[in-house]
Amino acid sequence: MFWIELALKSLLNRRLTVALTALSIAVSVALFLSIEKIRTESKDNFSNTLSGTDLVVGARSGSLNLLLYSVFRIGNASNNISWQSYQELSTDKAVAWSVPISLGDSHRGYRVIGTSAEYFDRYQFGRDRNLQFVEGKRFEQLFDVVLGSEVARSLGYAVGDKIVIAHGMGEVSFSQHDDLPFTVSGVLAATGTPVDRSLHVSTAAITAIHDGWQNGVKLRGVKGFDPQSQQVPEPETITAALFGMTSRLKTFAFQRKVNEYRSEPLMAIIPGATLQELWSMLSVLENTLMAISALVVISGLLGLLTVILAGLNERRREMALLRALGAPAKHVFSLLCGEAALIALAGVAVGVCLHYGLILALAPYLLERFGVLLHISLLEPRLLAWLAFLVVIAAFLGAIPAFRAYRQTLSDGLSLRT
Amino acid sequence: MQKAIEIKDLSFSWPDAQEPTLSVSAFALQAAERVFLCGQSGSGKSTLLNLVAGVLQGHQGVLRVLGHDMAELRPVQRDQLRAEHIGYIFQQFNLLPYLDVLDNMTLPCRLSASRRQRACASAGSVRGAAERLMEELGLPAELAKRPVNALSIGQQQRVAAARALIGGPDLIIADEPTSALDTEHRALFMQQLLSTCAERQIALLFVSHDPALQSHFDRVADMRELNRSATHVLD
Repeated sequence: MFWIELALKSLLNRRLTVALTALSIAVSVALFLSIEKIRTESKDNFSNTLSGTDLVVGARSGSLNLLLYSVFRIGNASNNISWQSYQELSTDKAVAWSVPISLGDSHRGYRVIGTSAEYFDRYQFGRDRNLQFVEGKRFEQLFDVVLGSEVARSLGYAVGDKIVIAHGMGEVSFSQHDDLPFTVSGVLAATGTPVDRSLHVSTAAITAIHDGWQNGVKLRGVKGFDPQSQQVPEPETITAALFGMTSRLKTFAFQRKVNEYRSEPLMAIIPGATLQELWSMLSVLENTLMAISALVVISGLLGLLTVILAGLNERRREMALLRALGAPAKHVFSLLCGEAALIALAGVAVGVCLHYGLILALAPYLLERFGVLLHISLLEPRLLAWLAFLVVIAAFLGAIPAFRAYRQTLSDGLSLRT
Repeated sequence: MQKAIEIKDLSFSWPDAQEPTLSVSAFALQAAERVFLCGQSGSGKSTLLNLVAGVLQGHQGVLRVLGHDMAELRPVQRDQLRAEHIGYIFQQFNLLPYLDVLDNMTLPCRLSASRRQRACASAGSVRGAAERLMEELGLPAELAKRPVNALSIGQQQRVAAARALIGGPDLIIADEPTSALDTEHRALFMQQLLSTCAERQIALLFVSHDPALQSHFDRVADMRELNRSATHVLD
């Protein structure tokens, strides 16, 4: 107790250097934890977004690009696929079900996807979990819209509200489909996937609101879709489609068929395989980040060692004093070791707080930009073990100057070197 | 009563040195005796003090401190002997800068249970013992909670003396404690230290190269006469 008290008082006496050293460790710990958090959570998020879908079909481009825009709502489609091709593929014997996806419109920054009602049965996330409604039901009328949980929550919408869809993306859009408002028919339960940030309408509705538009501009003098008409328009193109096979074994054959489709350049991807591709691409970045945070931790520890070593000369006097008072040499040794451990402990504690602050601050941005939902959770045992290891390493580093001091105290004896 | 220090044919050599640094045929400090040990730097006095305090080991011959044969004690036991029975006063910078005056003064009672018990027995509490010593040594009571660097050097040395005296040690070793003081403070310090030691029956080994202080002491010993090896070191 006495030695801890003495170490604390001594540290307090040198509070500025000690605080800066602890801070440098704190920053490195916060960086390390945050990178680790974002890495694992984004992986979880991505892996949990889509399940039960065997193939994603879209216009030929990069497979990653297709996966990102069709499932994760990141980036934009380079090209569309024709409704005709989609119809033809979906009637293939190997296909159990298919769901079209039509993108390109938005509502106050949230993407609108045109799809079929079957989407609500077929779309699965996590471990084969289906979408659930917290309120209302799927779209039945042409201008019905189903909201993802976050859209409903953050914009305060409920079933029966009327909303207007904007053409293109962006918070503020100058071309609104304001002539044809939609009615909220249902709100989905939260899923932790991009579905939460989507508005779902029928592909027919997407076609209807673009009737009389060309190249993203409403044509003057051309009459748009008449809401009174009973005729439900057939889409000409869609952006992508999700396919389920009658048997997993047929996936590869059907994939080949799509990739070799003659009437237009199409591509089919297996979501899991493409995700793996994404991970291997990201692993370089991931490893770089890990290396950087490891280096930052090392530099923090070196800083700690430097501060203790630099302070050692002026503390030889203190050591000789304690020796003269009858302190055994090994207590002087543990005093210095303990000091390093205390600094590291304080650094780790502040670092963990900084980490949570950082995650809280970053979470909205990451969700909005990358669809990565960060959960605020307790540190995993694995990370706690790492932090404990860090403190132990610091104590060992403290042993280096402590050993020097130990030898000095033995040779200095009671002479006060200043 | 046992002698505070007893030396017979004591010699000490540093591991790689040819000649012994210290070689003393006989020296004794009786219990409660106050001896002035006159020594220049290089006379081997630091070595002698380190041996007596039990910080150095590996001597030849007989060295008894407060009845303990120093050659027989393990390092931890020597540390304990020092903590419990010896007070040490340095030339200067005696105090830990991050503790206040009172905490500095009571440090020996934190390091040794028997010093704490003796302090409590004599004055009721450790704090009481410290306050009594402050009074005896002419330190104003309001200094107790001050940081040590707010004190003058003379006051710091008196705090160091109080620390050496607290909890009734049997031997005080003072290594040129007055060399940083001016003449006026030096006389006052000497008088206070000596009277307190006399009152409490504490043996005092006072080392200095200032012959003017000799007059205060029962007995004077000269390092040049004691240490047969000193001539090699002196230039």
